[in-house]
Amino acid sequence: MADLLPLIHSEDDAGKVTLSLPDDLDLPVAVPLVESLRAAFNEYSDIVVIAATVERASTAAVQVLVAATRHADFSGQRFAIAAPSDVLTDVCNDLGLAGWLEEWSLK
Amino acid sequence: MTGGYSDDLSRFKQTYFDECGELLAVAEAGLLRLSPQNIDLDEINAVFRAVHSIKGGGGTFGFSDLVAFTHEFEAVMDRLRSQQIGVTIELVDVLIRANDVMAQLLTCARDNRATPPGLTDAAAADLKRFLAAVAKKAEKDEPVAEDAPPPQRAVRRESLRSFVIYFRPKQDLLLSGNEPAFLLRALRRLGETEIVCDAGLVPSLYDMEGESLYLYWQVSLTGATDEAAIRDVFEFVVDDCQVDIVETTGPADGGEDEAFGLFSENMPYVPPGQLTVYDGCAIPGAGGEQPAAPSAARPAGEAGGSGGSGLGGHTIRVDLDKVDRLVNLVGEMVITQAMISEQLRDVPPGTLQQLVEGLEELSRHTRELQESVMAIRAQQVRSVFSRMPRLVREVAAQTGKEVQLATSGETTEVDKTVVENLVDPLTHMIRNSIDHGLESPDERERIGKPRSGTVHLSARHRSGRIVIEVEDDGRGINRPRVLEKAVERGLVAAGVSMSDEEIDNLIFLPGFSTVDTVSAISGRGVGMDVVRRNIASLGGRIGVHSTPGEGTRFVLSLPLTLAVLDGMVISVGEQRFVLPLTNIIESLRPKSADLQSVANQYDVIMARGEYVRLVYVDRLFRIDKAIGDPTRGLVVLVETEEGGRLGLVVDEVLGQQQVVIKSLESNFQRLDGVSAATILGDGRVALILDVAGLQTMSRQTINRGARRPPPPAAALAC
Repeated sequence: MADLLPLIHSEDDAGKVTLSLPDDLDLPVAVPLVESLRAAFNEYSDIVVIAATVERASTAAVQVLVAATRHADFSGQRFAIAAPSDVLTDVCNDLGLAGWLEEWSLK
Repeated sequence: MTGGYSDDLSRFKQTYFDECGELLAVAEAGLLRLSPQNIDLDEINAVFRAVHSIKGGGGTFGFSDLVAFTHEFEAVMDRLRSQQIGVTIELVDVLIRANDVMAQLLTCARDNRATPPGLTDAAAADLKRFLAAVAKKAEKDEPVAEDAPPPQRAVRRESLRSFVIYFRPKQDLLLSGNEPAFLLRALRRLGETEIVCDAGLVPSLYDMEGESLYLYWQVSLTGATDEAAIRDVFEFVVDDCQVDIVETTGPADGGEDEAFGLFSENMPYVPPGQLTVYDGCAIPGAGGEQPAAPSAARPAGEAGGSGGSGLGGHTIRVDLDKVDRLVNLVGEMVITQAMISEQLRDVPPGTLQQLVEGLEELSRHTRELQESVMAIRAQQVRSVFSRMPRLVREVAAQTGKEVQLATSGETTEVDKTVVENLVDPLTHMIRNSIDHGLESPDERERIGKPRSGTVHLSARHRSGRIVIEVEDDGRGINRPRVLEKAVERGLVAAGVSMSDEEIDNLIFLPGFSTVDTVSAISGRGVGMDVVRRNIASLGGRIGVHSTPGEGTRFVLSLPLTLAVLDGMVISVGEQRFVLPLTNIIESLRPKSADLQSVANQYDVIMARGEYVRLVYVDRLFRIDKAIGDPTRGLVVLVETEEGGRLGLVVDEVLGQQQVVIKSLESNFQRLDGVSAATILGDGRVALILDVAGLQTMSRQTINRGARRPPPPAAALAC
């Protein structure tokens, strides 16, 4: 997992990776988030991002996650968002993405 | 080309910094009025918008430190306006400090300096603490409460109206510091909303740029609101997005088909049929990452366009130098017109009648032109007054006193230069009033006053000048103590007899202070004399009136403009002087019987039922060949702004004239009894007399027991 940015911590377990999103998902995080997810999709077939500690969320970061879900749909890889924090949920509500978040959240 | 772009950017930057100055003032004023007892959502919104605008511009110019910090600031303001954070005194303090930090960041950005390490740390940590508290509280709340729509803003109309809003941001909207989530949240506050996000143009994960925006939104809104309120939401992003608003009759969803057609051709939109809709979220269906093909679209409708929010306004920004060049030109025009009038004065009556009439008309137009030009430079004193609540708050905290600041006459207008130079004197006077004037809360209570003292700051026009007063209801000047200190410091001789007014005025002497301990606030003895000097340099005067136990009132009198003056030209010997018209009561030639000598020190004249001291202008300025006898020359009765009267003994009154003021200090040096100079119609330089200064000079001459004149003014008046 050397390709992943230090912003995102991960654990490797037989093709599955779990990424912990940083607390701060503001605009500056969007670029490293894209790169980290690209790297994850390159190496793993099952990707879970933990969003439990997200205290700040931006449209840019949410948009990256939307692109990730579309890529997962397209490529047949698994992708899920685990334990989205209230802040992330609120921002998704504001953006009209509540249904999307619900669909991609880990049940 | 690069240079041109750079120049353009530089010009925009300057405009940005100019606007930031105003926005900082708006934010500070709003925050200073905010308290747990006084929560005005409109005001909170105004502060939010100010912070948001500063952040937005900062993003455009790449001021990353500024953007990062204002982002936190904006987030707290957003929680505050959505009432997720309650107003506490601590929060207000944190926000005021954040505003200060924002101002410092702007200064660094403007001066191209790096942000000092740690500048934002403490303030950012405070802001984050409040944000973290909100997040923690949200976790504890019931899920139902989370989903509940935020409280609606004030109802503008009783009946519910429905709109469909199409919000299509440009790809670089995020880079200008704007956050669509905030905008959409603001829309949600206007009523019941259904927000549909169109992610159809989001590229693949491998093609996308993290900081570009590819999402569009369609919002169906029903609430007691109107289009103006909706446009207000997008007020600060009008240049960064396309917003189309369609009012729908009946349920909002009835207008969808028609509304989609409002998107313009160059901004493709994915029709509903090509979207997979997820409970309020529209994302192209599985099986393809490529954006859906654009649909044929009709031109934008009437409600379209992003320029409808009234941002165009009716004001323009003009470089001050351009205005000043105009002021100078008009000044020269006034002088030229006076010179022509002077030439025509000798023409026999009845000749050149048309020319004389034309000149009179020109004179009227010149005056109107001059007034109009000066009006451009006029500013309300509000810009200075609005800084004072903060000062009062800080000094009150430092001194442990309770203080209320009352202001009046904030809309009074005066020349920009005068306004700018008022800040320091007013700051010092208000500090003084609180530190020295007001008693401690306990002491006030003991003597039957309200615990909270009051400082009243007022402004008004009077006799062609602006009069600004700073009045407190404190203990008043302790005259025995002032006199004792003045004697102790050798400022006045021991045992000298002085009137109350004279004792009060001792506080304006250089080096005077009654405070033994130097504090951060006052007591360094470099205060009121500097205030007086600053005011005098503006052609103004300062007076003090005090009543023991009741309070002290400082009165500042300043000219409305520093450019022109209506004056009366007088002659003394071969010299010409100008007396401001506002000072003159009348002129008269007394009889010997009307004159009396007082203790063989000075002469007085009985005028209008009171004795008025005579001031011999020729003796004050050592002018030869003057008449010097009031019974043969003239006495011009004048009045100072504070009501003191003098009789100026002159040779002759030559006539009224509008004169262009030329600073003596910048062209020569300051002279006692003279406020400025001017050029008369015949090309001669004339000094403009300062009546209050003449009064002071005549008193000093008497106090010294000798008539020692100042440096000869005649050398200047050539």
